[in-house]
Amino acid sequence: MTEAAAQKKFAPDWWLFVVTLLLLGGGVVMVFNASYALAAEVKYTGGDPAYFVKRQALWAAIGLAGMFLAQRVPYWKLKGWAVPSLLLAITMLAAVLAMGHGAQGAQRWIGYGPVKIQPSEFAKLALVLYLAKVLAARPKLVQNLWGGVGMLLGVVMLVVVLIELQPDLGTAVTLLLTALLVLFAAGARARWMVTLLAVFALGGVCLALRHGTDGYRWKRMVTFINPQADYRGAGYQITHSKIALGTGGPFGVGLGESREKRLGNLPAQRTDFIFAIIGEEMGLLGTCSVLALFVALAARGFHIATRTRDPFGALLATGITGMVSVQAIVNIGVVTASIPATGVPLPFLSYGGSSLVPTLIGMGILLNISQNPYYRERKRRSAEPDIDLLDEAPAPPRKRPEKVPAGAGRSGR
Amino acid sequence: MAAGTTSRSGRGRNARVRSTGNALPPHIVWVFGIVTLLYLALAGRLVYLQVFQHEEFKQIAAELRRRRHVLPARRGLLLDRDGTLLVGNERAGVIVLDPNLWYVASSKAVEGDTPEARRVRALDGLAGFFPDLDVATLALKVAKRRADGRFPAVDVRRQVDWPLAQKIQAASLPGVGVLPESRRAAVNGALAAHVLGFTDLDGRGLDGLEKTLDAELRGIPGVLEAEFDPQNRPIPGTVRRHEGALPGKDVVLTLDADVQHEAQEALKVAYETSKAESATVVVLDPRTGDILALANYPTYDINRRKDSTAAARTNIAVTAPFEPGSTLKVITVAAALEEGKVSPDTYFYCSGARGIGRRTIHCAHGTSHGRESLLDVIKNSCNIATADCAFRLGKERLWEYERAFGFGERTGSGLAGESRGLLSKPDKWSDIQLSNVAFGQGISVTPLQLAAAYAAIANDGVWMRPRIVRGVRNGEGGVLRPAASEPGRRVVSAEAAREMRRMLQSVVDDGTGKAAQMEAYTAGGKTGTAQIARGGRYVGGKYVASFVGMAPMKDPKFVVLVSVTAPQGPYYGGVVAGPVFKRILEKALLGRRVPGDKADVPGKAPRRRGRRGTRPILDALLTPRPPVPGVDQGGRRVRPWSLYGAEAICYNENAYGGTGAS
Repeated sequence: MTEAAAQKKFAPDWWLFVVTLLLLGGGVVMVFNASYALAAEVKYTGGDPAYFVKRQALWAAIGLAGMFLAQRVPYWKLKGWAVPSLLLAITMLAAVLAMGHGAQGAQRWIGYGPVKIQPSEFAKLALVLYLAKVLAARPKLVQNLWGGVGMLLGVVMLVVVLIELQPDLGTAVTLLLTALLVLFAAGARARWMVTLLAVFALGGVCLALRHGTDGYRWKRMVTFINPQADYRGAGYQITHSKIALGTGGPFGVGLGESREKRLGNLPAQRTDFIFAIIGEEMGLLGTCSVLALFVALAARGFHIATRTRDPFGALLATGITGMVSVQAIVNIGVVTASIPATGVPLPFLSYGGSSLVPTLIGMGILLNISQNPYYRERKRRSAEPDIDLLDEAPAPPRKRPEKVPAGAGRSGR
Repeated sequence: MAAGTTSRSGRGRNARVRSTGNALPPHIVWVFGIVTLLYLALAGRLVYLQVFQHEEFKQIAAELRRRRHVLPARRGLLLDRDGTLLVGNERAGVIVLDPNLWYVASSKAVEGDTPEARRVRALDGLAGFFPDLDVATLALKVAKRRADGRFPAVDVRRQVDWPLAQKIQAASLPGVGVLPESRRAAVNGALAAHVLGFTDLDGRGLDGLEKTLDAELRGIPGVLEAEFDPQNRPIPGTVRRHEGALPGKDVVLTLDADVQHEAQEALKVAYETSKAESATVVVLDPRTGDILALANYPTYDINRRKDSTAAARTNIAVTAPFEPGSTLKVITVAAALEEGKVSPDTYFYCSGARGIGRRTIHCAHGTSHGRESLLDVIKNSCNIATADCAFRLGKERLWEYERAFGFGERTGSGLAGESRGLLSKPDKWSDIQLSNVAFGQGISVTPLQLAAAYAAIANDGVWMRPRIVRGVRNGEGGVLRPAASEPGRRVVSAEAAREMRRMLQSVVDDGTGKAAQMEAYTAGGKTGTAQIARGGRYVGGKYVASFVGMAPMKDPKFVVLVSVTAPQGPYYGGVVAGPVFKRILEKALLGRRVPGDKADVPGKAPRRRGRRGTRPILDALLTPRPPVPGVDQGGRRVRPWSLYGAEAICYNENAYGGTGAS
């Protein structure tokens, strides 16, 4: 392959862009739809029905700017940012624990005055970047359970635990699942992944049972099975979420006709539970359309990952796509009472800039990756790029190992 | 979007990316597969929820939202005879604590705001508004209520003043809400409190007219069955049943607010200066039996009844019979006159004492009146001669007349808690009892009964049943439907009644009732100074000083009874009760524009203008009058007794009671 071919630049992925815009536009519309009744009722909006949507539109604009910016930055330049940004994220997470702002009994924000950052959202991107960089540089790591996967999971767990301590179980779980997904995509054995998943699930149950079956966490964990049993307590939100979806039926009650969005029915109707309002107003048609858009996004994202020759780009694409997908699945799983309730915003659709802006920046990175499928680092030109890629660290060039582990053979093409 | 930064050949929107060498192991296909599968599973779940369980959830949602609200009916107003508002409704607030909102933190993030802090803040805030609030009990109650019920808000306080309720609402304490409700409010809570009575928190009559007229005042509550949003507003289009409330009827009473006010003021003076145990006044219109005023001391304020004692809430005028003493002699003499047993020309001889059987009756203070005419008997309040009249009548006759004058049975005035008094059967009377009843001992009557009996004499011998309800008005501005008028009952002839009035006038003119004399009007009445009987024995040194009379004598417009129980200091009826009588009548007669009748020739009255010491009423009517409380310059009635502005009263308050939810 020639130098020119390697650096050939293509148009960004058109379908990914369209899907992103559709989700974003739909999100702004639905945020308005789900929030105007509430905004007119509560005091701190000053009775302005467009209070939330104005802010969401602003965040969408900032996010789009971030997306275009990220799309212009050659993605391989992010490599150098991976470790510093992860360190920064860990520092911020620690800082948030030390002196954060409380919202609903949790410490999630850092900042002063109107400028508030949610470090956990930033940490997601940083961690994906870090994993992509390390796994691209040392592909063989994933074939080693303790020294490789274990070591990487240690870094991941540090971030996850810091987030869980906030406590923000939803983001922690999303992050953990994304990390596992990236590790698996990089070549870790399926057997390990399944075992790890089981271990984490067991650990989660133990954690929830820390305060016995009467504890808040355990209650919340099992409520989704029969939310009506504790209607006034933990099951309230889930019950109303199911009611919203159920009353929607196949075609919905009509745009703007939702009753559950009114103040006092479904809490978090504009944030974590906006999917339920979509389901109520537009029915199965609406919810499945959203699902289809997310499937399309995953398809494009993973497609970009498969066709990118640069392992860093491929892993980064996998990580970003995986992150959005996992978050969407967890959110919709919670809203449909399919999994225990955790607070995770639905990407693109939920109200809130701290989730939206990093997601859109991620899309920008993804678009940039899609433009450079043939990118290779110049120093490493080889006749057999494929084997090279898997077995050799980029710089400084090292000698191929004498023995290739068994897993490597399967990982080859 | 598509434009790149570089312009290398071969790039472009439609350039196909050739299959590249894979950077990653094929696991990525699995990843995509798993993700897609999960999305599909969620889609399946959505199909289940939104298609198969659709009807079920529609039901659940409707059940959660459907509620039946009771729409409270506006309680009827109580008005005086001229339509002046006495008791109305005003807006009040119910302070509620919603357990859910109290427990769950709001979505607005406040620095350092934890659910616990919010809970404490709510309770502390409430305790700030209500210092006597038992916060611990409330917290327990709310915690308990949280577990069950659909509308589990706990009433913290009811019937809270609306301005205070608004202040509480403005404080926006977590979980604390304010719902409007209607509250009974008297324009002047002290005015005619014993007549009007009061209601409970839900507007059900507990005492007084509020109780006896409850059926008229109550109205019929409406029903609203619909789906409600969490703010308890009906969702349009879901109303299943809506029946408007039928407002209660307004009741126009016979009370005259001005006379009532004057009566209370005058009585208060007497009550306070004499340091009496209690005092009562009743003003009747003798021609109709209308109760124009009725007041007792001690009294209370309807709007602040919680601060009052049960004794203060007792309507002595109808519930507490007393031995009237001399005032009852009028009945005995009238009966004897009517029966022809005596005539104005009959003369009696009083030696000061008379033996009856083994006992002796005396005249007061051992005086003897000697030879006296029938008129003198009343004027002197002679026991011996009155007993003589009773003996001439006989037990049966006297008893019949007592009954005819309304004693021994409830008057049926419509006031709450009327007593029938005590009048034993004549076949059980001994001679001494007969003579005692003749001058008002061994018989108990209520002040209202006594006033009604005198009203019969004032009304030319026709007894009218006292009444308090003048008519009923159907809602706001409706037409007055007068109460059915009952024909009177002739007790004595007009001639006998006129003769009796002549005697009563002599009491005021130069008898025991001189203190009741008025400048411009003739008046007549009878004093009474009776020992108080308690538990069958007379209490030493305690008397009921009373005066019952009427004015003007030719055609009496008013009958006024004043009785003061156990005054300290002077205890003669004329001295204690007379001035009260005078003050009330002067005010009442002035209010009715009754011409003065004391001038030798009424038409000549203006000639006396300017003469010192006299101020005939015609004179008063022809010249601009100084402001009189209760009457403004245009002769229009105002309310000098209004504690609150009339604006404070909501005439048509039909508050949407949130607590009416079922």
